[in-house]
Formats: sequence, structure tokens, C-alpha cells
Amino acid sequence: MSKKRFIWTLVVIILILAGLYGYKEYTRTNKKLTKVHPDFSISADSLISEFEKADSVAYQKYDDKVIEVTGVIKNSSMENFIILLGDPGKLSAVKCELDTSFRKDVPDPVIGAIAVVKGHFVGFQKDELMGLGTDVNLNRCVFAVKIKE
Amino acid sequence: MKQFLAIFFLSFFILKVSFTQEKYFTKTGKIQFFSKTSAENIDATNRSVAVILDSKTGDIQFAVLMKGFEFKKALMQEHFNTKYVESDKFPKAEFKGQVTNNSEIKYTTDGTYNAKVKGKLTLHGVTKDVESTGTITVKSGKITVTSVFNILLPDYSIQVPAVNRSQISDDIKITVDCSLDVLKS
Repeated sequence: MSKKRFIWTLVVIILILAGLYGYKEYTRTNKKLTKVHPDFSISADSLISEFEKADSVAYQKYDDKVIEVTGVIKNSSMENFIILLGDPGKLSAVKCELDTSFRKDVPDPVIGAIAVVKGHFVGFQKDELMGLGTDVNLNRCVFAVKIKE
Repeated sequence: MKQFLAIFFLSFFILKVSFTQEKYFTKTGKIQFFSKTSAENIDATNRSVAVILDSKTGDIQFAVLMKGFEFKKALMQEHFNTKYVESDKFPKAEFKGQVTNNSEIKYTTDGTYNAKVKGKLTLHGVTKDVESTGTITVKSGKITVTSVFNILLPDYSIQVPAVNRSQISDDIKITVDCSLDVLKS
């Protein structure tokens, strides 16, 4: 093979690989958390308390991390596929947006049951003018272990 | 007899006021946005919108975490947060306003009512006056608020890079769909 032909072949191969990588990156979906090990394991009440006491410190700690949260299911919206964990007597909650790709596998959650949910931290909403308590938001959530009803 | 009548009317007044002073709220409201271009349609959904509505005054507030918008493609979600809305700098979008025809909404009678809303939308650190119409549906003590309106990204200083101009429209359609329950005090 001549040197020129070799170079052109190499360029074509590189372009094909770059194109495949670009296509793969463009169509990449968010990673499922079922097999991801959590960065933290904590109760819903403790997690909320961390944000109520020092939200900027807590935000830096949990930003972009996977958290496994244990708590009482105090509310749910199966229409939007989301459950709220926390003290039923308080407005503050850990909002767990469940991974919709598992919708058909998840039975309706039982209010009052204790659940262990693993999710990706996306932020918190402090109890400011709205008076709805402090909420910690997780998305892409999956049930880790259902303890008891 | 006069005392009895006074107590009766006072009790009636207190009951009437307490029924009409109810606030409604949700922490699981839904907001979607949609961008349409000839090259591509992009949509994203946020399922954990916080809303509070005062049925007496018509005051209504929404709060949305920008990182809570979910896209089908991870790269698009990453670009949305890092390049467009800069969610680390501006983590939340908020709307504070009022149902301007609140007196026409019968919050204790089942039905669907046309609503006019006016207020201030804060997005990407920029606050703008917005007006929209929507519906408030009352059914068995539950309130559903729906609305569709459009915003222009440049109005909120959201810059779309030239290389992405063919894929992302400046004109974004926002769809609001939130079911509210009574806020027990």
C-alpha cells in the first residue's frame, strides 16, 4: 500500500470512529441507577435536616451524587410517578422522581410504608416565601429495598 | 335572644371565612417545555413543581428546579444545564402572580373555569412580566391548574450557540399541568 493510500485509509477510519463516537454520545441516555452504588445512605429526615441547617454546605456535599434514602412514604403521585419521603407531620420532604422506564414494574406505593429509594440529587427548595417546607429533590429514582409496611 | 342571634351570625361568618380562605398546594406539579425546529423537536418535563394558590386572593406561586427537567438524551440535558440555563448559577425558576379574575372562580363548586393569570416570571436570573390564560378545574375538593404559553429565550438572556441554532428554537412552548390539594394549616 502506498504511503498516500495508507494515510487516507487512516483518515477515513478516524472519521468513521469519530462519527460513531459522536452518534453514541448524541443518543446517550441517562444511566439507570439500579446497579450504581450510592455515594451516601441516609434517612429522609436527616437529609432534610442537613439542608435546613446549612444548605450551601449540604448542596456541595450532595451535588450530582447518588443518594440512597430511607423514609416513610408520606405522599405519592403515580400520574407523575413521584413519591415523597419524610415525616408525615411536617411539610418538608425528600421528593423522589421515579425512573419512568420502570413504570410497569413498580406497584402503587403504600402511604405509611417505609421505603428505601436510590436517586440522583438535583437540588433543594428551601422554605422561603412559599411556606411549604424544605424539599430535597432526587430524580432517576429506583427502589432499593422495601423494608416493611 | 339578641345574644343568640349575634353568636349565630358570628359563627356563620367565621365558618364562611374559613371555607373561602383555603390555600391549595402541590409539590408534584408538572411543567413541560417544547422547542420545535425543522431539524429537531426537543421536549423536557419537570415532575416536581411546587405550587401554592390562595383561593381567597388569587395569589399563585410556582417554583421549579431547573436541574429537574428530564430530557430523553443525556447530552441535551447536560447542555441545557451547563450552557443554556446555567443551573448551577440560577438553580430555580419562579413565577409569582395572581389569578386576575379570581372572583369568577368558584373553588367550592365542581366545574372548569377559565382563568387569567398575570405576574412575574424569573428565569436565568431575569424577571419579566407575563400574562397568560388557563383553566382551573375543581373536582371533589381538588384543584387542577393548566395553562399553555410561550416564552422567548433571548428575553431571559438565554443564548443558543450559533452551531445549535438549527436545533433549538428561541420560541419555547410551556405547558403547565398541576393538581393541588388543600393545604392543611
